[in-house]
Amino acid sequence: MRAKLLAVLCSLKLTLVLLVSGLVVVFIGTVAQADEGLYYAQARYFKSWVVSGFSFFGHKVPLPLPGGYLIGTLLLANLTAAHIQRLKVSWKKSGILLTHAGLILLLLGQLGTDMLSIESAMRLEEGETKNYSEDFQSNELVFIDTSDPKDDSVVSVPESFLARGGTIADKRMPLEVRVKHYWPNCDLEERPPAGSVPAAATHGMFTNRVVHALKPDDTDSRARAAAVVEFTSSKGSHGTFLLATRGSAPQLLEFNGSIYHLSMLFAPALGGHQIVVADPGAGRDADPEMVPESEFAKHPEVTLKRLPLTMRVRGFWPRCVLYRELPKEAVFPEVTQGAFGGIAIAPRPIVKDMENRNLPAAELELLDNGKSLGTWLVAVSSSARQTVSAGGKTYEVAMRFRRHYTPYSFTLLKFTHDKYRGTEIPKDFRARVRVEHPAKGDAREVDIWMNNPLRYEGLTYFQASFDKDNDQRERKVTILQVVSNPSWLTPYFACVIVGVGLTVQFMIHFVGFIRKRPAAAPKAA
Amino acid sequence: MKLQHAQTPARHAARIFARAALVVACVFAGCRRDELQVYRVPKPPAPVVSAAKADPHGGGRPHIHSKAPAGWTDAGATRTRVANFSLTRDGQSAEIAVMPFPGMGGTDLQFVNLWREQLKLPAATEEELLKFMTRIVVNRQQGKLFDVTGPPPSGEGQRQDRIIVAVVPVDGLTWFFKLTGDAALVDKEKPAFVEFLKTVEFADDEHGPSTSPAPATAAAGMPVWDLPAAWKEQQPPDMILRSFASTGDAGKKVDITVSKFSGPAGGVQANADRWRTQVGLGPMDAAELAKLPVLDLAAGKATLVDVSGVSARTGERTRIIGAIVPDRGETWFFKLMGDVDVAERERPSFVKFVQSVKFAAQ
Repeated sequence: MRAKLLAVLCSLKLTLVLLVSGLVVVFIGTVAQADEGLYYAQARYFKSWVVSGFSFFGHKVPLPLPGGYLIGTLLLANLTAAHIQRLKVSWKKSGILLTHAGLILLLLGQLGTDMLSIESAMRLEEGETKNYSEDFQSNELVFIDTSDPKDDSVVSVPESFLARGGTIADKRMPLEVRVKHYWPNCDLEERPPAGSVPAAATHGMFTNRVVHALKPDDTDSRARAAAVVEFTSSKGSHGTFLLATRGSAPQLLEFNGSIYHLSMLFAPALGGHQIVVADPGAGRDADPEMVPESEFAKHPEVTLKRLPLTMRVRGFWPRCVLYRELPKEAVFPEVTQGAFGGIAIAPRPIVKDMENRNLPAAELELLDNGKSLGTWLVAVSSSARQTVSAGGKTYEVAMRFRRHYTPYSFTLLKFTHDKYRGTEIPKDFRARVRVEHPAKGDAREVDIWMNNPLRYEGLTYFQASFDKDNDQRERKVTILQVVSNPSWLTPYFACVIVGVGLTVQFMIHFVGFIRKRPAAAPKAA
Repeated sequence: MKLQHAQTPARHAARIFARAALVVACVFAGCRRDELQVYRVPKPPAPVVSAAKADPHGGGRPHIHSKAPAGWTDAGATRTRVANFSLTRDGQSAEIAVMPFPGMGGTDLQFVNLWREQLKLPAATEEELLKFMTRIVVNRQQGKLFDVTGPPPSGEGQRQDRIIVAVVPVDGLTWFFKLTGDAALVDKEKPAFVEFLKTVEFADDEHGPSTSPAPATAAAGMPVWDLPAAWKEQQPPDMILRSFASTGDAGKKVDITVSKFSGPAGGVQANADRWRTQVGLGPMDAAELAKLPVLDLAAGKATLVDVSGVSARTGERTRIIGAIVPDRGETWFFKLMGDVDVAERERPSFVKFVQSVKFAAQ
């Protein structure tokens, strides 16, 4: 039996089957990236032992496939076993031995890279110092003891613990955590107060808002004026808009093939709030049409002077707060502690593409020696500071992108983003950072730019991206990709070994060929 | 037979390989497992203040850099005025106000007639407009200068007023520079006003003169504290950094707020008197001021003010317990206000809360 197994393991047929399987899995895994997303497809097809069912051009196929790890491991075993069994160690075959050793190292190195490498991102604003990077995918629940004046003590609970549910208890944790609910991806929405009314806008940027009118003595820093306005002509309605003061960009009304800008502004010099209809195509000096509050409060239906439109003000609130209308699937966690008392959760589908990431949240009951301290909501999407007191100490509690700390820090001194003159084509992204490693007494400035990463203390820092609003920022932002890959050198060594092996084998044959070549025939007399 | 011959070393090697593979697999599997971690990290440095460009539509407060002529007294910014000056000479007075409005779109005639109405003049016609308007350039931006003089005084003790306004649109904002006051003084001051306009720079950064005692953002240098478990965080009103509430029976409650202002912000007495006024009490004398208790904090001291009375706003019995804490050129205010019974219950928690405050970078 063992002999048969060994014979199979050493066989060339197995090599062929594995190579063909590899081709099939690479093809299916690549095609599946369109349906499942790059990250998930890579994890499911290439970084796994068995693939249970696969996607093929949008169709689900309920057949198992060998995963990348299984094929790689069997190839490694096949190569090693065949090598040991068939090849005899001799100088004549030293080149082949070296080549095979290089291939084995390559396979092992790739396995090591897949299983041990960690990729994360460090977002730095000019002048900002950080000693950690944040994981691209993983999140963590943390309890931070900030009582020490110098250091913070952090207990990090992986998100997977929350996803499992139940109670999380560990003697290293300051308290127990009972997971009441966990949402792998969601939005936090503010709950509109009772009495809020839907604006029922059909067009514009506020089609899903409800309006909460404020009383005169209500203080709310978000207070603004708003009006629901319908525009009609002889052809019928051209849309109902919710117009509001404070920071809202003009909304666009399409009429007769032209685009008009609608807005509301507060102009005390002109008698209060104004509904403004502007024609951006009429030139810089053209005055917009302004309908003051004093007019539309008396006559909700106003015929515009410069456009053949009638404006009907269906509602006006001089002081109000706009809330997003909650989706039907929104849930209301029973939060009794912390910063999220009036929050609703709007669950969202799990995202799998590389451009977006899931933003989980959890409703947690915290217990101190079995005694409930209340229910907190933690969410990756909010940095609101929340605390909990237990055992005579106060801890910050938060859910955040998983952090990877280093004993050294980076300070972004300057970020430059050069483009080719007269174009938007990037020429150079460059971050000048100061690296400080107190334990080593190291303090130096280095440039990190495209294709010129910084390798420091086992990590590689790539100039990966920047903030899309950098043009609007005084302090620019860079995003460095941080890669920890303990086996990053193995492909280089492997390639050198394979190259040397092939050269040696070639030279052995070449020298043998030269030696065996018959001596040149004597020249004819 | 050849296979048999090769089995012994091959089997041995295969066994070694299998064991090695098992070890490697275990190591790799162990490395990838999610684990609870405990670690210590140095405290994070104070975050840099966000530097987004001021949003012309209201996202940030726009401001100017300028040089005021001699004799103008800075009267401080207000909600609508980013700069405000007053001027008094020979018994006559005038004021200069700088006001930005987002997306202002009124016509020149509307503006002129608004000011003519303020001066009790009849409305001007489109044809008359040019009589009141000239062109002007402010910080390389084209603007218009309007000059409207009111009617002559009709009797003893009355004055003639004049309004001069420069209107300059810049990046979605319309800036109004308005000089208004006694016609004679405005006439004398007009050259200085025009010189002042030449010094104006429209700022698109967050540096330069502070235009209002706006509270710092929550992220910038917020202190840490031990929050009593019964307090619930609530939406802070304008000018307040953090706000909490504690409730009692029958809907009674107290609000606890945290705010910060640059400088002494009026000092202890002015703020204590302000709080006293809010509960219907008069100002305190020097002896009462000297008796105010002082709390020792981790760094620094807090002056505690504790007053009860009837709220001037609600007419209900109200208590205010406030702590005034100076810290490196700024003054922090921690204030508990609300129902007297709930305030009495929460007083020890409030004092503990204030004593637990630790300011950033200490």
